[in-house]
Amino acid sequence: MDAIPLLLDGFAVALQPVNLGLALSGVFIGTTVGMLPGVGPVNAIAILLPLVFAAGLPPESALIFFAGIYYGSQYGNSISTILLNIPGTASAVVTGIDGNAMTRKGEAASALAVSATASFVGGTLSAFGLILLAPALSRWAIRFGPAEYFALMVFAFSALSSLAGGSLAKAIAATGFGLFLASIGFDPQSAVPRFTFGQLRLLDGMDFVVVTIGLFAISEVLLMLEKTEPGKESVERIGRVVLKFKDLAATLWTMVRGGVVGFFVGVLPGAGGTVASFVAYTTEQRIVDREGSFGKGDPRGVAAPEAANNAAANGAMIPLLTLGVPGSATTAVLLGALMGLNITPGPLLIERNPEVFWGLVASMYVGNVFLLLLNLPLVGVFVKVLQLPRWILMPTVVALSCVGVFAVNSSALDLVLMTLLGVVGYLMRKTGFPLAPVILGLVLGPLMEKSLRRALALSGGEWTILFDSPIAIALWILAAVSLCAPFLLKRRLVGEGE
Amino acid sequence: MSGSRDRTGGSTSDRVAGALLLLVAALIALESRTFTVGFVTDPLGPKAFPLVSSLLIAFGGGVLLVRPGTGTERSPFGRLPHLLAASAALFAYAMLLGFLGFFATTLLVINVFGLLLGGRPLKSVLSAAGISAVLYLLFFYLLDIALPIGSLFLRSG
Repeated sequence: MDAIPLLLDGFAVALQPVNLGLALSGVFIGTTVGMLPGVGPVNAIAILLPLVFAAGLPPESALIFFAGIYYGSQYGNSISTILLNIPGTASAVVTGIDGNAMTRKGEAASALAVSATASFVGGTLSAFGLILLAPALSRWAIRFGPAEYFALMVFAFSALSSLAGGSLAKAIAATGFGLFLASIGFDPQSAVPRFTFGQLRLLDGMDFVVVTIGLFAISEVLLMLEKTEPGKESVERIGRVVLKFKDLAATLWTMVRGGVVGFFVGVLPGAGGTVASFVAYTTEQRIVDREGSFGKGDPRGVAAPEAANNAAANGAMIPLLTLGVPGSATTAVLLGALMGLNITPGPLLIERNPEVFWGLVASMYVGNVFLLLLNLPLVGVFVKVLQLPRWILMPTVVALSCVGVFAVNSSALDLVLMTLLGVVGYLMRKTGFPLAPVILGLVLGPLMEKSLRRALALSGGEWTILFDSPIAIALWILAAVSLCAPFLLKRRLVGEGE
Repeated sequence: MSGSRDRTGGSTSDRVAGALLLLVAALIALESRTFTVGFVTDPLGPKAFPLVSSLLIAFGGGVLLVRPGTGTERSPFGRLPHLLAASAALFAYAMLLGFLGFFATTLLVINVFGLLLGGRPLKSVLSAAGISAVLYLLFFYLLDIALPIGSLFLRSG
């Protein structure tokens, strides 16, 4: 297999002191923000983007750092869920069912150890999946022409809109809003300024950092203003967190199955950690739960979703790196970050920038070892962070956002735009509009427009070129099916209920 | 599971959102019509894509207007004064940054948010000063990014 020397090269990248340090701080920051409700990986990556750009890190180092935050946050999420039953994001909700039940039985240390080990198993298994699947997928996608690309991006949008749940109409409007934001500025092909209203600063287009920080971080802070400070959460002293052999023996196969399920769900656009953890939990319940102990503090009920959401985080890297088409908000932000570092993810990435791909894969092994070694003894420290009062935490997020946005272009207009987008993001969240399609529209919009116009230029204006190849037709069918899926599923559920 | 969902709670906000979206879509479409080029660059030209985005927004808005209140949960709006104060503080940050400089404006905006989030005045000021100082050092010394000193201080110094 020709992957082994390449992977060794990857380890040479990942084991450089700078990258080791970045992987370590990435998983550490990720664990911390994953725990804190209202920060989360998207906000953390968005806020840290300007810092990383300013620090002039090479792309592979930046990606190692951001990916560490991403999969680290999946683990951090489980700490607050298990101990306090406060999931940082939706992907840990399922973990809370059995995890928090274990805490109430006085088995918090066991639950945390199982969760950390499951994250490790899920993370390392899926890194292996990445090695198997990604190069094959990119060799296949290398034949994609502009028409196939356009269809692929339409599929990504429809999958994200329907699989993410919620109102399809709202998701479609949010996609339109993202595409609109993407079209602001000079049209690269005709040099016509669009929606700039005479502002010179807007000729370059909406800055990705400004939009992401405004829509996600600022709107989150505005939402937080509405909640009153809760009383100090009391966390009981947790004993030494060590994995007992009994627990490992009981959960190992659950972890492996959860990891495999999570990986494949993660590869699908739009599904992500939430769906992965849910699918893994219900599958496992069906397979092993003979005594009906799931939901009453069964360690396997912690192991399955935890392995799955970590594996899903890595699986989500596949469409991002091999096709250049992200399937979630976090990976869309990563795509924007890579583009800012002059790397264009797509079928050529693995060939042209092997250090980025193989360095990332190797760093996943390194980072997951860090997660395991670091987090078992340090759980107590992370719990302290959880008790940090909101009036220190949230203003820090605001200050970092403001400085970061200003640092990108030294422009006060960017700060105004950030505020406006923050208010828009707040209103969208309040009325149930999803934010992920906006970011996806913003990063994919220019590529989508370019491939559509290139395809039509090739065909001399014939629209049939969009349906000319079997791959393109297959992608259009996938897009149509994923748009209709929620309706069909709903009908079936309603039918069964009656 | 079908009939029990609360269909009244969100329908007003959905109707308002739908109407606003239609308006936004119309404005985008109107503005897109002005994007013309004298020569033919490609069959599609610069106006097609913005028009597609306005169509998507209009479609979403239209559906919400006709069939509001299906699907997602919503939460009621609360604490409007807090929201206004916070947005005003962020606008003020953009406006005052050049005049008052990084340190003073950051101190101010962090403080507003600290107080709004329930911090005690003295503690909030102290933490704001700490955060601003750390950020300044981080950007200036570690990342080598010059942050505005403020024209106010430049003139007097």
